[in-house]
Amino acid sequence: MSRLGAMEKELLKSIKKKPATVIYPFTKEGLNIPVGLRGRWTYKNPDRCTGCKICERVCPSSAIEMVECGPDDIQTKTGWRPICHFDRCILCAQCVESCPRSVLELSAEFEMAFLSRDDMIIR
Amino acid sequence: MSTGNRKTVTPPRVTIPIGPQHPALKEPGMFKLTIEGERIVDAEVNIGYNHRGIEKLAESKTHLQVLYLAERICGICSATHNGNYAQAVEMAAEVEIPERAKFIRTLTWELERIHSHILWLGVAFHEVGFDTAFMYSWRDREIVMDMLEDLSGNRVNYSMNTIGGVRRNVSEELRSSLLTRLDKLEERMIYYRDVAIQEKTFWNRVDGVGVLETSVARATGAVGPTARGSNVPVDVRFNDPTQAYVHLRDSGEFEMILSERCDVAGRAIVRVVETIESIKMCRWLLQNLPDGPIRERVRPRVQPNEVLARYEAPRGEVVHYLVTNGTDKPERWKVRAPTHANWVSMRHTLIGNYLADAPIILAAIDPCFSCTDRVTIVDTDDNLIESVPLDIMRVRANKWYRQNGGKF
Amino acid sequence: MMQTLQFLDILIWGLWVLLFPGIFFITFLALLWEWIDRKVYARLQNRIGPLHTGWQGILQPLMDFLKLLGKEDLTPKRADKRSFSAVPVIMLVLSITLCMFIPIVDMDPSLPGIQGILSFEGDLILLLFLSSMLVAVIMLAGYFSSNPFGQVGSARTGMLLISFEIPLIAAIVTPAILTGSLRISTIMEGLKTLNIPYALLLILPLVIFLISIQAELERIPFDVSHAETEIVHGWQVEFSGKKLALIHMAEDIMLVFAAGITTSLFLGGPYLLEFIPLDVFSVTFATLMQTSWIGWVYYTLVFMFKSIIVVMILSNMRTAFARWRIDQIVHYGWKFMVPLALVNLLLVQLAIVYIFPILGVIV
Ligand code: SF4
Ligand code: SF4
Repeated sequence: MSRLGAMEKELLKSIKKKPATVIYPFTKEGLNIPVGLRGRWTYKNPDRCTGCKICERVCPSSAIEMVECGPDDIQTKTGWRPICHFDRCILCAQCVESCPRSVLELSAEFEMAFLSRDDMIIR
Repeated sequence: MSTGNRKTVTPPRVTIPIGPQHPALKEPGMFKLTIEGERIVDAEVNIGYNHRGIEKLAESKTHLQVLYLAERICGICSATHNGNYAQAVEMAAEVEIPERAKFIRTLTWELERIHSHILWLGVAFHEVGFDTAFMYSWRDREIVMDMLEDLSGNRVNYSMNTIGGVRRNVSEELRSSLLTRLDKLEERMIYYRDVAIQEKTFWNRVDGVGVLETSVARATGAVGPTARGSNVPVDVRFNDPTQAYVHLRDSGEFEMILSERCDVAGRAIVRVVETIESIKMCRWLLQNLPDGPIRERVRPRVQPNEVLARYEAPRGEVVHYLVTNGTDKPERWKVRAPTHANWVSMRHTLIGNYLADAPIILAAIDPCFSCTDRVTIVDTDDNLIESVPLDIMRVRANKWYRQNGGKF
Repeated sequence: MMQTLQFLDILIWGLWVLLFPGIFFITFLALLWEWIDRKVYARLQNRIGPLHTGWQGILQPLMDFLKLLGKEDLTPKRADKRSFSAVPVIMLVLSITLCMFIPIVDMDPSLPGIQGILSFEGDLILLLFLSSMLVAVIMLAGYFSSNPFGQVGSARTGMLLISFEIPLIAAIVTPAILTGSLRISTIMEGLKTLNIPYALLLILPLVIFLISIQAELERIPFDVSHAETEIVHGWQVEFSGKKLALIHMAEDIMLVFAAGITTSLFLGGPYLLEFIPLDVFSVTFATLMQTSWIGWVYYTLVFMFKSIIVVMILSNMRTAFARWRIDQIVHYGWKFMVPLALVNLLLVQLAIVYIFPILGVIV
């Protein structure tokens, strides 16, 4: 039943085939990034945020911190706005789902390496 | 010469440690193998290098948050723990989720089984040095990984389930694209069944190796493909179905995959054939996907209840035991991961085999250490390692609190 | 006058040893072969393989070597220090010495045909001896490192050696019998003039030789002695830094040797167009190549071409199989390979002594 070199035909066939390797950091070809990818956290529609702190409460990894709106920020009703400590974020999108006014979004950006923790605080 | 002086010469017994760091193990675990020559005569399994205190942590989180914690118990069966926890909470809250949600949840589970089994196949090939088949199988696994990514938005931690249903819907075009990709996948899996695992050098390495007889498998409580490879018909999907598995079973098109071989080859065949069966299940689920809502609102506070949720994970039966107490947090949550049940038979399976076969035998139960490791006590004074079951733990805790004046 | 001539001679000879068919060229080939090996291995697995260093990653083996050279070099406390550090050097020296026997270009114009840098009557025997010694060094390497994995690896190397040395020798001896010489260059010359029926006798020993040399090189399916998932690279486990770099280099050079010796003994050496039975090729072209410097380039290229084919076959073998267990290797070695090799010898003898004379085929 079993025989030596059973896969040989397939091996020789794959010489002619295009390699399956994706040369990722050099080209993004063949990465198949889906439409609904859960990528980098963004504070997408700040003008709609009410500062209700629901996102902070539901976040499983305490990644969201509510800070007082700075002078350049769009002022929310309660005067608080979320920022994300992205090093703690586990990209679960629970905040996106729980936000009553669809303020937050996980964007399609997936290259999320940073050199320091300070860079990882997303405002 | 008197008989007292006569010596029997046997090869010296050497104890070789496999682990905690070893290239054959992807996660830390320690196996002390006593060998005579190249034969294993005794084996000792030490696990517990990966204890993370997840169950305790869960008690301080809301049910919704525990879902995301649960899926991080294991990277490969993330939908398993995630979905099973959701199922447990739904049982505790006594809500019925919509049909469509059930189907999508089951679909995620089955896709995950496909990817997990192909992953195992690749690992098994790699353990016996068949790197070519390893590369091929992992290349083809990419198809199902992409499917899962399209379905859920992430490759590994799908977060598909929420309490009361699923979080994402399956659109019409996604459904048809999933169906075409399933065809491709099925063709590849049939290739592995008929050609790749029939390669003689590979077959020689798994044929008759690591025998786990049916009686021993029953006695030691093996689960999943390990048990089914030893012809023990345990499969929660058929024995005690939940979610859309009820429909799958009732359709009568699917059957439990069993093998009478009892060796590593049997487990390999069970997994490969099971993958093909899973692909068929996925196709059935997609074709019969009912319309309707995908989630039901469940109140965050779950009434006091005590439930046991079972699901057939890729590696075997996973049990979530959940006690709720009327708040939005679990009172107690206990996970029995399938690998834990399979360790018991490991010593028996190892003894009598060659040292060179130890990696593939260990790999054959598809061990997942981080799922398994619950409580271990390491006494640094006399190097005593002790695995403590829950009830003894409770007794000790009570004692400690009594002595130290706390209340429990 | 006499003395300057001698000095020049020595200088030129030194250049040969160091540069062209010698150490430098062999090292170059070793790195090139490794690249081809890796590339073929990868392509057969539907991957790309080395890609970024140089054209299509052609410099990757060199980079790996240089990088390993710069790594920290550790010697285990319990190891026998002097022997431990001697092992890589001995391996490298032995493997380079082995390659010196391979005839690539005409090193001694006073003799007919093509010789290696080292060439004398009976060098085939010495070659076999040296290659066995290399395996012995490997065994010692494992024991010197005093690591259980290393020792298991050594024991396995030993078992592998016992099983596959016999078929290897039996296979190598066949061309020697056919041409009646134990000198590699003479064998090669003899092969050039063999009749087709005689040349057909070389096919079976070629297959046996390729399988046994794969075992000698410890590549899949015979890589038990440094099985990564079982015994963590076996005898190599304690070597690091420079020592590991040298060991890898020695292994690559062994690949050059394996491919080279297959080319010389079974594939007719660096001759290609000479085999076409037309006067233009077999006489005019051959003489031109033998007398002018173009011959050197031509011979080298042909040699490389044939070697690459052998390397590709060996890589393909590495791709198609899983690793056998040591007991299975020994089992198949003694049950199939050794009898096959002996039957082959018998067949050759019968053919030469009885069958071919009856059929009227002469050398
Ligand atoms: S982002 Fe949404 S949930 Fe968070 S504070 Fe603003 S409105 Fe509330
Ligand atoms: S994606 Fe999840 S972890 Fe990240 S901020 Fe939102 S809720 Fe928190």
